[in-house]
Amino acid sequence: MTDGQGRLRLLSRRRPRSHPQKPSGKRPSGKLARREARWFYLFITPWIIGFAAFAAWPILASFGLAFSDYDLSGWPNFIGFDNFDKMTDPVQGPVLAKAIRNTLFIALLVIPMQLVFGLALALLLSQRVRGMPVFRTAFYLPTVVSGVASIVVWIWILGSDGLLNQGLELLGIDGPVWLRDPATVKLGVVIVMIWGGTGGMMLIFLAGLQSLPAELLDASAVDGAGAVRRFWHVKLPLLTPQLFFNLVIGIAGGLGVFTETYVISTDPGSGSPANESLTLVMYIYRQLLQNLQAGYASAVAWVFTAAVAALTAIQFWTSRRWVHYEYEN
Amino acid sequence: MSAVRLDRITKVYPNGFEAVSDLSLDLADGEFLVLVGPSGCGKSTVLRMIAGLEVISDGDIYVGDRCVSDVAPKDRDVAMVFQNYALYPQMTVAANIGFPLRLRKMRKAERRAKVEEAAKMLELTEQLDKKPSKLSGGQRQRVAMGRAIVRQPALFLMDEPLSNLDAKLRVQMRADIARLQTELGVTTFYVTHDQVEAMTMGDRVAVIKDGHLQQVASPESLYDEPANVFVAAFIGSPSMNLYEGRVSESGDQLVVQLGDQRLALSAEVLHTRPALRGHIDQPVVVGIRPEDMEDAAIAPGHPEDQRIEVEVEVREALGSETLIHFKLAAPYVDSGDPDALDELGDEDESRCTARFSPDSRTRPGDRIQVNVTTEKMHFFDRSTHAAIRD
Repeated sequence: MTDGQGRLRLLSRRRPRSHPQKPSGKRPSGKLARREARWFYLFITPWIIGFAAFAAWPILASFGLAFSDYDLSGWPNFIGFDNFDKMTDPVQGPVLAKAIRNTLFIALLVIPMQLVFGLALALLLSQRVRGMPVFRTAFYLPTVVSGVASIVVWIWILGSDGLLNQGLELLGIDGPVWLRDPATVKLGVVIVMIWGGTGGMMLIFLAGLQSLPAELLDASAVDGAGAVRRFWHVKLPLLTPQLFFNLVIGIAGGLGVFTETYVISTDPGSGSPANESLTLVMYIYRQLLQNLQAGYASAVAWVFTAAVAALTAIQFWTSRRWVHYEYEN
Repeated sequence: MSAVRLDRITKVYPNGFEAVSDLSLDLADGEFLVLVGPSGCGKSTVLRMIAGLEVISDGDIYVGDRCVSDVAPKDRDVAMVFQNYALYPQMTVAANIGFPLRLRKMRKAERRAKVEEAAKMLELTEQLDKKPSKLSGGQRQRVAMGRAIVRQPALFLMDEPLSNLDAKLRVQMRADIARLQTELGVTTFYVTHDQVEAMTMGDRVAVIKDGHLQQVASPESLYDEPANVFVAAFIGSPSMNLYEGRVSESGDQLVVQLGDQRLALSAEVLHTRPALRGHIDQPVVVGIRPEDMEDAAIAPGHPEDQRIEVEVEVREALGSETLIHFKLAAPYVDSGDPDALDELGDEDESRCTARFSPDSRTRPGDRIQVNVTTEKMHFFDRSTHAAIRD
């Protein structure tokens, strides 16, 4: 009892009854908050250092290099906007334009098809059928297989005596050497990219489909919607957040195509045949590591980054009109 | 001809669980039937089977004279209101209400007129251009109602439509739905676990437990003449007090022994329940509704041999009435309601509730005399739990 009374007296001395401590509604301050902050910074420091050294600094440095003649040796010299002018000069201009055209051709085919196939697969794989986990794993497998390994398999499939041409031969069609023919190499790249990238999109759509509110689907069934109208009027609008995510990621990935074209080229990184597989990122790579024009490569990279960023910003801006997050359970 | 007929419908899930067993019900044209039962009793499954959202394992469902057991939901001519409103988030209120008409390819002008008519009826005209996320819970529920009524279906199905609303709004919406149903005259099948909704809204109430229909009757009959112990305990709040007792003859009258308490039964008890004579000197389940007990101190004219003496444990003064909690030394009887409290009693004693007049001044700890209106007592067979009546 004395202990209790003593403790009470101690408390009353610290917090006089006439001045009760009011909850401030703010985060706790004082020693506890400072101690928590110290631990927070201690734990996050390795990541801050890593980010600064391997991401922030190279990004900043490349911005500076874009205005220099740096050639991976010596010190860079400031040359103003020369590197940006070079993008349109008679020597580099046509090649860069070719790389942009190739990249856009590939991206414009790959992104919609990945989205459509990803969604179609997700719709099929969301059915309640026995053994469905096996199918889901099978369709996702290409996404987790090493990119280079799967491309090598595709080089064989699309080769002169590859699986595809053997199949076409059965139909009496003499197929081209897909990845060596300037007319078909980009289509080959598109096929490889769709095969490798659809699984990831499918997974996102599948997660979205599985979290669709069952009562909305039930309501639409009672309201009079068959499977097709239920898809257009209910499922698709509710899947727009997943569609938007896949679109943003798909555009960034599609415009940044590199691995596929690099491995497919006869001379890796050359963009062969006839620069038909030369993409923007491969062009930057070629300028940096083959022509040793680090300044110019940085300038192209920054223009490319700005374009992708602008495209992403436009997507976010338009998303307010077509992406629906409103469903509240 | 019935508007809706459920003919011995059964639902067995692939894992062997029988959610609904051999259930038959007839709904008259324009009738408001409420299916009520504790959680997990299969009531929503029945509704979903009628809507076509669940395949029925056995039996048949008729809407009008048409068997719809194998008909797709969209072709059954039924409209459904869901617990979570199920509004399409990307559509405006007008588009939500008009969606079933759009699916039926109704012309835009005609559709608009019907939507506006429904909105006016539901006081939603001002909200027509808003998205559901901008509406309150009550407004959302009204939009869901609008989507159902705009189609003018043969049958409304309502799956606990008020359970997401707060208590005050629920009372208002309860009245609104009842009014709307009367105005439209559409046959309505309403599912709820809330017995107040069931009793206040339904022309008839069907009580279901573990997939088995227990009783279908008007709210008054259900309350006054429950078919079994489960219905007796489930309908009414606070619940009917249930004890194990023994009816015996004492001279020329019947008495019921409840633990150490003895109650003389009025002559009317045997008159209205002649079958009780077959249970004399056998254990029976005795039910007393809380309102059939009164503080003897404020109602002194009651026969003294129709009183029990108890010690007040808790007093709840609610203004219009006073609830008194006490224990009775008689074995407790489990009604089988999974939602009921577990600790209502044991083999030696039962927790009881009496609803006294607010004039009662009893206090916890008081030992008081309680009048029991014995002619309103209920008796049930101890083994079958069925009511002992005729």
